[in-house]
Amino acid sequence: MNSIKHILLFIKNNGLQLKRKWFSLPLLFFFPIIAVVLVILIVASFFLPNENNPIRIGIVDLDQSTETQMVTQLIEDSTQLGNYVEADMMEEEEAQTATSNNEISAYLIFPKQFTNDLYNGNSVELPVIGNPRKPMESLLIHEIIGSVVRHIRASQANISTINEYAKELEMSDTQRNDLILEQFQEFVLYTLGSNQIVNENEVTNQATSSPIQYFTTGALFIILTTWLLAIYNYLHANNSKQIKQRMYLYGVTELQQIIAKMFVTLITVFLFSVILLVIILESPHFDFEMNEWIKITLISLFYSISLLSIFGILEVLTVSYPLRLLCQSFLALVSILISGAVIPVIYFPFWLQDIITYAFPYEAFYWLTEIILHNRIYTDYLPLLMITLAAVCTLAGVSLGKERIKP
Amino acid sequence: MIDILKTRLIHWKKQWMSLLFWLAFPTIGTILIIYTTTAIQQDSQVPVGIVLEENTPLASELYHTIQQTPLIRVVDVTEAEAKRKVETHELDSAFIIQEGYEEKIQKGNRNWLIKSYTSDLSFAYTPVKEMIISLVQEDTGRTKTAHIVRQISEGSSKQWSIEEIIVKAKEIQQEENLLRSTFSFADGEQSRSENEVTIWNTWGLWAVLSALSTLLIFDWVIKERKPILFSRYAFMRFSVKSYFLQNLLIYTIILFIIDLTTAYLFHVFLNEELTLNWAVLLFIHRLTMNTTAFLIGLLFRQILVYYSVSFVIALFIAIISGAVLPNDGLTSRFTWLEILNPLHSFLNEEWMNPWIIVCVVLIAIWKTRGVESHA
Repeated sequence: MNSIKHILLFIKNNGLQLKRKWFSLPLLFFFPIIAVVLVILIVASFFLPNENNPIRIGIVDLDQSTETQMVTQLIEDSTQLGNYVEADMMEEEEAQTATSNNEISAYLIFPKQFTNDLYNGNSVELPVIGNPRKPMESLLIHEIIGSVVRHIRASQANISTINEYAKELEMSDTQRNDLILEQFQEFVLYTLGSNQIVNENEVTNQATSSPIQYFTTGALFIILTTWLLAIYNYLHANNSKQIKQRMYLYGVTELQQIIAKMFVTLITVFLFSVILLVIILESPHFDFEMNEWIKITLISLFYSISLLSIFGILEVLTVSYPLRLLCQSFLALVSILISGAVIPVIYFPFWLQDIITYAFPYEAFYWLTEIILHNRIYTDYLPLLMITLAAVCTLAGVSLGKERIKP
Repeated sequence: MIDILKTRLIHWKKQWMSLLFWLAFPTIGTILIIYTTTAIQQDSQVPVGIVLEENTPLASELYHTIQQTPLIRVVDVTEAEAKRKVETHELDSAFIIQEGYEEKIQKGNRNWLIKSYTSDLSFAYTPVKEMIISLVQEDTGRTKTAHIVRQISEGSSKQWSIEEIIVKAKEIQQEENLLRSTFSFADGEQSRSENEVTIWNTWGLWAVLSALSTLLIFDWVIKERKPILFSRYAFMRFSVKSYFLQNLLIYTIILFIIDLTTAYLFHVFLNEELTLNWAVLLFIHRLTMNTTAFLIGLLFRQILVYYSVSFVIALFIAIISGAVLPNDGLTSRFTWLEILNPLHSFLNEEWMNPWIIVCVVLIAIWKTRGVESHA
């Protein structure tokens, strides 16, 4: 009874604290949103390359033959990125200076005797030299060239086979060379047309689901997590030792203060979410029934309580405030990563997926996507509820245990 | 100077644990992050559904080759399952090796041998498709070769069967070291094997973590500006400001020694370069960081607010600087972002750093202005 009174007192106190510093509330509200929007902008601007500003690559042709020109053409044409990749012929020194001046993303060298070695089945190396200041673009270029090389490698075996048989048939050298060149061209064209092999069917993830919804859900989840972290720490009060001792004499425990903080954080985050959702709901992508809203709220609530409990446990265990902030930020980051809000869990290694499926962020995000994206009616709260209870109990145990050891 | 160092040592005696932690944090953090992500990246696989509609040698050979690709985790499904699982995104995409695969290849027909299911969330579809196409292409290409050889040998005394020629082509492909591409970065990081090229920019990651730890280590700027302490400074041989500046110098020396150790550790563990040039750059960077942290510290009076703001600053540096996320797309559109980014000149190995000039000027102004300003 007494402890409930204490908790209520601290809730009131925390509420007052927020009221007194109301002007920083909008800051807390917008800071995660700005961060998430910035990240989205950066990622989007990377994946939607600028046509006025294509990825430039240099081609250093030490062989100077028809074939190398055709391979260059193949590199330019082989991907959907074709419009965004611009290849220029240059000398080796030119390419080096262009790389160090950050003008090109990577360059490719056709070694001397490239064509000759290619036809005779000798080993040929195509070095790709990346610009260390544009690592992502360099790797992208390397991927593109790698797939072209894979195609040519298959053709190369075939061409040298033809070459071998032509030799056995005692063809004259000129005749054979003509044949080989002709075949090389044919194989390049053949490779260009290789998309016919696959009959592509694009299935849409059921009528309601679209990337926009998927990514919005992910972004909201990240914003929710960041709010929890920010507001929980915002409520932190730096009590001096004397005040702590006096409070201890009144029978106030650390746990009561943590619970009060969790409670105020939950209410604030809930209000924030309502405001944000009112803005987002203007768009037609989100349209839910009342009972779906209740489900979404419940799942978010369980998630929030679990996360806050772990924040609380960290608060009990760490002494220094910066260290605690570091641990809590790290935890929030891990929780965002394993939830699947950034990278879908299916792309993780198998052993990691096994572990992740038992974690509450994954569980919470999974059910959120099931409800929001797949309109699932059935929801299994039990695992999430159990995890939440376990987290709260651990918090209570750790906190009370610590107070008992250290009077 | 010696006296200042002595007082500093007395301070550190009480906080050596946290000081040591934050000094080591950027280096150890970077190494740990790079090692874990590389391990996870190497084990990552794309779940792809494969339906085998016929059980001919060619089709099952294709199936086994796909299975052996390290990037792909093959899931056996039926076509209906495949479609459903792609829809619910349990599979990235699905490929169906269609009935009549072998027959069509033998006839030299290569259209629509494979049917695929993708969705707008199939992030890995294009590379997986490219790979499967190139595998199928190998088979169709060999048949094509066989037909060509048959053509040119027409009318000659020597004749080979199609099977013979295909076997020969396979032999050539397996036995000979054919065309391959190698990758290396222009700055002399010699070609590591393909898997080891990490997406991380080691120094960028370090710079972000070190920005955070520098800010946190500079909490003394606030702690030692407490009003109670000011009456004591009056009894000191130095002015308050020169006390702070001399401490700034001590911290700069210590942090720079740590930075050099970091450079050495990165050289050992992560194959980063170790040059004199780099040491100078590192020093400029350290100076920038410290002066910035010092000035930010002067802005605050409450230590808790300062700590939280430090984390927020570190977060935004991480997002904008291009050290963690590639920001090429953004800076090419908004060049002014490069000037705002405190890590830009360090990460791009440029000597000119506008930040340090601004900071030094601001500190000079702070020093010359009246004592009452921040006291």
